[in-house]
Amino acid sequence: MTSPFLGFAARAGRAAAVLLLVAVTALALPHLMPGSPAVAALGVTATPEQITAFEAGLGLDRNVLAATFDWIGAALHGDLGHSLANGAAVTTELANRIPVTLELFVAAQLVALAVAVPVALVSAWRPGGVVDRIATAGAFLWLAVPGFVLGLLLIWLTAVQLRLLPATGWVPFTEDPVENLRHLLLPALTLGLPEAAVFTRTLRGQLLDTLDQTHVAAARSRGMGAARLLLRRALRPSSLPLVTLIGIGIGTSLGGSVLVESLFAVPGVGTLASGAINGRDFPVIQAVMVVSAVGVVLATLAVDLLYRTLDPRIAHGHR
Amino acid sequence: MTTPVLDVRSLNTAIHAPDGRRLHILHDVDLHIDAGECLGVVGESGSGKSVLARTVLGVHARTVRAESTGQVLLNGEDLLTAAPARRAELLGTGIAMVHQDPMTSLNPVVRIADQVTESLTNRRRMPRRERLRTAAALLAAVDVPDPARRARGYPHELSGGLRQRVGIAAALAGDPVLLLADEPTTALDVTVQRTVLDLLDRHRATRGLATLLITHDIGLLYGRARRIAVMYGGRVVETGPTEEVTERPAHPYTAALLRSVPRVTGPLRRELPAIPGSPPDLSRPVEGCPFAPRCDRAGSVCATVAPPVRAAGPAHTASCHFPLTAEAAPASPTSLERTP
Repeated sequence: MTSPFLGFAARAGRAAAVLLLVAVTALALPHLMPGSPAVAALGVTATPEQITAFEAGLGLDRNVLAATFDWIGAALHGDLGHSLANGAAVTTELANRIPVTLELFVAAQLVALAVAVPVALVSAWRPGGVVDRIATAGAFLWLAVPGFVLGLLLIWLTAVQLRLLPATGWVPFTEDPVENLRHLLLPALTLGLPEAAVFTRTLRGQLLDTLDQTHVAAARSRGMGAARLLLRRALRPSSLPLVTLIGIGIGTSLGGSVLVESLFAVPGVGTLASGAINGRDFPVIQAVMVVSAVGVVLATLAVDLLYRTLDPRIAHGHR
Repeated sequence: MTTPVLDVRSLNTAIHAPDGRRLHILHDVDLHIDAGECLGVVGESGSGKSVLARTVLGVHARTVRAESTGQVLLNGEDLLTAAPARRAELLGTGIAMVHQDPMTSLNPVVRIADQVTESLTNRRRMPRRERLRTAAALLAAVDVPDPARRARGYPHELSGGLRQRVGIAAALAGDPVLLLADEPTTALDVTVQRTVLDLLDRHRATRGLATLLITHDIGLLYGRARRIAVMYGGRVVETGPTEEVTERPAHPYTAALLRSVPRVTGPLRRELPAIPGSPPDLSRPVEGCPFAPRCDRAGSVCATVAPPVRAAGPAHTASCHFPLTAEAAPASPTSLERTP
């Protein structure tokens, strides 16, 4: 058995390797893509001298590895370069965008869990019952419908027909909490409901396994009622795959939220990334790539730690 | 005569399996246990002994529906006709169960203190400190070393024998009058078996617990169970005081079961006699005696007529057309046609 410290060191080493690989790839992007970023930025009338100077400014004239290490060095000092589109510091852009995407992600997960946990509990307690059959059909319907279709439907229903909620736009929480939540609701539902379908199926299956175990029969023989049994005894050992799903979701939410953020005009990392890609704004693309990789690594670490609290056997190396 | 703690009268139980089949498991089961008494129920897999325990407890597997007729009297109160709320109230506090496999019957992610005190906390809120204190006392009563520390821990930190002690502590927590022990030592090492059985014996004696000890190992009941009920095909085929049944078995099945117990004395190399064939298929109704196809004494009557319950000695009965003991021999054995 390895000591906890060695285990942690190995994990940290792996995480560092992943981040380095992502950084190198990100910095190599301008070389890999067709066309010159300098021409894209300066226009076709640019002189060769201007282009050379521009490429030197981006570090394109140098070895990719050397450029990567310079970039990492600068990044560690809080400098991610400047946007080619508007000259703003990339760090400032990210600082404005990350909280928005994070808020949207957390809200979507809350929506997904609020739907999935109760539905899965009732479904698993009476498999084949009314709730279970409706939930199963509903889950597969949700999974089959693309997220943006749901988003458009929600916009049409709540914003256009009922005029209850704003269709697009964003108000920061610090400015007006109520308006912030009103703008948050539709994108959070659009992101969260398809996830709820996945969560429900996963948790239901896991709960069925747990409920078949002898310790559940033992708890019932001591007079434990259904609600207590499900919430206090079965939910926790069944929730590990759900934690994994949410952890993976932190990484993929960036991709998924590009669509949803664009649809609802939410000024998050997703819209920043799609704008940067369209405008060949390499410093921004590179920063978004590395920052989301850091997010994935941190999420994986958090999932690992959460596993240990949820199942004491893991902490003891019994599983 | 005092009322027995558990009095089961002509209990018939059918199980509706998830696949839609209806299995008639228990047939006219009669048994009783007095306070402080241990009744050993012995039989091979599929004899219905676990279904008997679950029917008495009133908790079946989640996916099956059980249907029972007859009476299950706990201190004179019929549990089969009791309201669901009353049955739920008795779980853990009136009737408690010790499960077979301590490796799977404890929840791996719930602290031992919380599991041991379940019978109490299902009824009333109990602050954490009180739970820990109560659990430590219960664990101490079942000889778990360092009980206060163990109460705060998790099941995976314990050996199989200690886990079964935790299971027993959880069963005793609600101060039940009837303890159902379903093969409590089958999953344990032989050396640990004895200490766990001794522990059950001690609590039976000091608390006056009526104990139903289910086992497939008839040898385990010597000196522990006052009486034995032998089950076969969902029926009690023989019952009586332990010495009576083990020394003068009347039913051929009991005799065969006793022959298959390995002995410490005698020749070293010898084949252990096994009972040929396998237990009856429960999905099909049995006419006559369920053991007839495997019985070396069976006559043609055995295949068609269910054997009556006959006296085989003092408080000793057996259901057999051709019992082994003299007292139980039918009045005129020649009157029944018997094939060689």
